[in-house]
Amino acid sequence: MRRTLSFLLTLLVLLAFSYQWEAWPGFFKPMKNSAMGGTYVTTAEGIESLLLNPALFEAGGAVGSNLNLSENVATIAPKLFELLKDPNKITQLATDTEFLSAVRGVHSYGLDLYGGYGTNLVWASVGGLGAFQTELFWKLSLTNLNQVELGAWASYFGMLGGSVKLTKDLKIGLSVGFGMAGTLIPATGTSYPATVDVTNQSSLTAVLPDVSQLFRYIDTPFFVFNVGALYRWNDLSLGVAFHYNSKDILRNGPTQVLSAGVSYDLKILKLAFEMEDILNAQKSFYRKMNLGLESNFGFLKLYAGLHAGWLTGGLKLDVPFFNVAFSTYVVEFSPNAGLMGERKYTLSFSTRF
Amino acid sequence: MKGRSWLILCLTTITLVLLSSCAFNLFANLELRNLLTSGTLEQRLEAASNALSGRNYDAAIALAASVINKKLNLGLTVEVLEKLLDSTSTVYDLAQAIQSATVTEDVLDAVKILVEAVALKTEKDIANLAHGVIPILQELGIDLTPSRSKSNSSDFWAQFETYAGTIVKFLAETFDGRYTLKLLTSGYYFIATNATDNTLPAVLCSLYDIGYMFNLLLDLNDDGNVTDEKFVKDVITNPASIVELSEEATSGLYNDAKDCEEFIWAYEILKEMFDILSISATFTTLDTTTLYEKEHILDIFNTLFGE
Repeated sequence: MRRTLSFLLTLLVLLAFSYQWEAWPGFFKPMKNSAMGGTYVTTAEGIESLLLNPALFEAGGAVGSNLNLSENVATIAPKLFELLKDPNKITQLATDTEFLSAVRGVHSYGLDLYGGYGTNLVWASVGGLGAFQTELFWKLSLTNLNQVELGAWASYFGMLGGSVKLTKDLKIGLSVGFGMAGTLIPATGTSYPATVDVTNQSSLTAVLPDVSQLFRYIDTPFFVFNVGALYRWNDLSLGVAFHYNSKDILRNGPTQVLSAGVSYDLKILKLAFEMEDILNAQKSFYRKMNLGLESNFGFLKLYAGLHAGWLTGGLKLDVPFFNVAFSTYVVEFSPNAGLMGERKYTLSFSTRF
Repeated sequence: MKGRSWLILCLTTITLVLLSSCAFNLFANLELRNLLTSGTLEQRLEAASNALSGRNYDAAIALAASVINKKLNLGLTVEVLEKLLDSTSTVYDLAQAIQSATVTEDVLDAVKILVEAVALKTEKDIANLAHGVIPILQELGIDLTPSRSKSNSSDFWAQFETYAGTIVKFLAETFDGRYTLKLLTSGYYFIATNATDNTLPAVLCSLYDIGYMFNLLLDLNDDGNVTDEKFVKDVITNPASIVELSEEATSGLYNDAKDCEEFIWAYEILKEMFDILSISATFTTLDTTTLYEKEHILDIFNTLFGE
């Protein structure tokens, strides 16, 4: 008993970090799950379920990409393209108030690439997945330019796993993986993100990587482990999933996420509710709560949801062999609902076979 | 399922998808109430900082003010904190408390968050001010790009007369909200006099302080705003007659002892900020009686800057 309490206490201490990251090496949510309020325990599907809840894994293959853009993309992208064409325009950006307002606050951009295949093997479904992830993050206040937070990371990993039906209604799944991760900004050091003084060029250059050797910084090995269970009773599903990362570079330590959920399938409409990251003592009750809704019109799938109180939504065009999807959702960086949300848009392309 | 049900479901889902683009959180108020009633000071301070970064300025203001409230024993209720800027008397009391507060790390951090959130919420922050100022300076022929900063002096004054109405309109809009300006002045004064890196806070304090003085001088009906004043409207429509109009317009300080005291307080703050910024300027000695008795705006300008 004492050992269990000690383990839980250690777990809570390890979970005590400033930012509540929602994606990290070895863990990200596909577009559908982001659009459905971040629910995944009973709603993950395809090869991607090896990442989230392997009990939902079924034979099949997929290759896909998610381009995750911050809400300020429409404002800053044209200006940055102009800057690329003419680097001298950087002085204009310094007095461009629209640009300055758009970059203020907390923002992130990311890319996920993945592919995998699975098949039925005797009494189990087994498969493998490979993925590459990268993300750029910043937090900026115009009155504190000497304390700008800046970070970028990348990782690649492989994962093997499968699911098995224990009884008519109960499935369990397991996936294990290994990969490499590293922070590109700061190029050296262990604290992520880096705090820099952007008015001091040496402070800024000290954290930037050598662009010609970016892959050299992806040098930290990590081990991931997912285990999940799903119980189906008619149209009702109950699930639980546990994720473990042995060396999460964003938190400089191990990461554990335990989530539980329930969903009800009305055929045309699927409703899901879940509590994400239950063991995290920093997060409030409302912050952990996710609600999702999925309606299937054949070639068109619509999603909506509520993630930590933020409305989310998306749609997917599902034509044979090819899916194009768009979602809007919010990443909540704070342990409380509604305080530090960043509206994001994801453009997703995938093919299933 | 019938076609009508499909249609309703489809429309509902599309509506939810469209709604999801709105930056609205269903739980934010509940979460804020929980933090204000049962959060520790550290939790509230961290949450205030998070809310500021997340552009939830109402929450940032309430949480930062709750830390100041607790540390300075102001006795503000949760309901008042949640709608702080709606109560001019509370804003004024808070500003008074901040300017005379004993500095601690918690209070300093909370004031930094509070003033930044208030400035952003009321659109008086650096980016918004620059957004108004930069086009005016460009119209006046001043190029702000560092490599080519220049102005032609003869053109400048000709352009200035042409754009005086635009300039006054911008200043009036910026310097609406008297008690907000008082809070921003007091907050940045507290930061400038207690923080190690004090140049930017001193600049901002000076700016809001001048705005506060401008407001006191022009606001005749003491409603806190200057855009509704006849003098301001007249100058905007007829900028060339600014001197004649100021000879006739009644000063907001005339026969108003409280405003005169506030004006002198703001004037003293400006002196201190100019010292911090190493700006040499000649300041006259002001007293309440002189300001109280000067009837017109031009009389006040003559008192401040000489005939």
